[in-house]
Amino acid sequence: MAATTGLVLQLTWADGLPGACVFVGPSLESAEILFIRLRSSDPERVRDFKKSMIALLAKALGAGYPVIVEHPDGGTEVTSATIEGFDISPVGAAIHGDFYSVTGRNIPSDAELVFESAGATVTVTPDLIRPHWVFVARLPVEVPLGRNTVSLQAPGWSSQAVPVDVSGGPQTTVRVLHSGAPKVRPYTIVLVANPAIEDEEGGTFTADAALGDRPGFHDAVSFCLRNMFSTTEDLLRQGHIDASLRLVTVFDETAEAIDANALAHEIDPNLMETRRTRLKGFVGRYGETADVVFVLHGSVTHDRATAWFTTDDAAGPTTDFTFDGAARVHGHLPAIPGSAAIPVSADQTGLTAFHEFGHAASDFNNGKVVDLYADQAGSGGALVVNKKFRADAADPLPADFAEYNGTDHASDQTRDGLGYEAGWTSFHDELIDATRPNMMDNYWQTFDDPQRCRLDQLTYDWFVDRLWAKALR
Amino acid sequence: MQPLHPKVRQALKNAHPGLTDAEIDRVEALITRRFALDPEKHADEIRRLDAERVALIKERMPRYKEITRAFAEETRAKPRPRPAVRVQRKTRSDDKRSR
Repeated sequence: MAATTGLVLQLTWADGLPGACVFVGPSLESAEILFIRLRSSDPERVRDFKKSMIALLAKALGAGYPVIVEHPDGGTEVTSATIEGFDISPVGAAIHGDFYSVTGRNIPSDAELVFESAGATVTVTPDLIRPHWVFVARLPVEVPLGRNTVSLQAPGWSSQAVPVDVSGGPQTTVRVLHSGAPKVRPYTIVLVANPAIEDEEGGTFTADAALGDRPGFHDAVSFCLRNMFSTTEDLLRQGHIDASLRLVTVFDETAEAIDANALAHEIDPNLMETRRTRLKGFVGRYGETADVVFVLHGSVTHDRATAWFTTDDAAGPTTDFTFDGAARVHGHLPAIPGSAAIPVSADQTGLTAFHEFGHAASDFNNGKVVDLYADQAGSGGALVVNKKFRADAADPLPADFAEYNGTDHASDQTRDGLGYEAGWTSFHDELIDATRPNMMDNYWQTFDDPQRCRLDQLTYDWFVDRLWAKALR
Repeated sequence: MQPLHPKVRQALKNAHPGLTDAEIDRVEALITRRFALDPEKHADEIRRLDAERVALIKERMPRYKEITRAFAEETRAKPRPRPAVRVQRKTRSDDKRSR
């Protein structure tokens, strides 16, 4: 058996065979001319197989993908056709101004996207680089329209070049940025441009300016992703868990300002909350099932970000854990997704997106991760993972904070360098980085860069278990 | 919830002589408690917390919105610089070499 490798240069239907005639090789002048003949005597399954080969070769011709075609030594009748794989994979279409991402393996942290066409080589620095994924918030218009190849390149390292067709638009309504683990329900984060806002009093819905500012939405999505995947806290990088996460954006300019599309609600004086019970239905209309939804809105009057915890599906599968000796569970699936309302105008020097994710990804019933910068008591009776209270502010801080899965965790005796306020009864778990505030505390009060703040050790351990329980469901 | 920036806290105190950290902390505690409660189970308590917060701000921090909006305006996200792009035009000879 011989194998011919190369591009599909021409594919024609030959009535005389009947069947397909295919040219495979580096150029028409030096191509092998091969045939797929559909004989009337072929069993049905053989004819179906041959038709599939023709369809595959047609796709390879359109996409510019090289193929391996097998045929008898000295013969010209094709017996198998295979599209050669690439070591990177573009995610979705290449469209000017739209998101663009490419997946791969062991991608260097200084990799660049290189678009090669007949007329130019265009090199683009990604907004975010992970070992499995690079992300560009807006594909630059300098990338020539039409056929290009795209590759990832870094000093001493290069991926294969994949043919892509670059278009000038339209930008997509639903864009998968990263498809996540190949399973029915990968852990999914959906970032939505909010179509409408419910006013403070309730019942009145107005169009959200977010849908009129596509570049602003792309910037905000980029901020959220960089905040979660490239700041010092590695919760969403540990064990390469981010390679398992599905990331999707929704920007639907046609969504009307009606109740069903209003995903955000103003709260006096400057707060915005998600309308958490609307989220599942909304993203479901776009074929997505979310674990966490970021509602990115355009309000400049109600621009203080907030979040609602997830409500896990108690009837679904769970993973057990113990907290202070009590049996608890991480639900694998959400009944109501966690959510955060983030203004597209959010100050990008902070940790707001990741902080709100910290709330949203925790659970109303089996572990809330709450704000640490206020001394509020009363959590509706459910478990709080990262805060406890003394009976009296004059009581000494306990040495131990809590037991989690058989391990005792110490208390944070000093609340990093901030100190507990006089009169506070609340206290926290020991920090991973004791020199900076907890990322669930007031990260603006760090001495250097808010984006260097981390979690406490117990919350980190608890979240690692929780997120993996969901990612591996 | 996004924490209060120390500069906003100071601006609130500057704009409202006599306003104490404890009063600002009370507002913060009311909001954070609100968002720790399940709205499907604790709607009445959330309404009570909201009413107390609104009243406290109205009485002690009437310029709250003005102050927080001014700060938000200062710190609003700047359009992110476009990604670095390098374009190298090919000549006919480049094209022949690459073949």
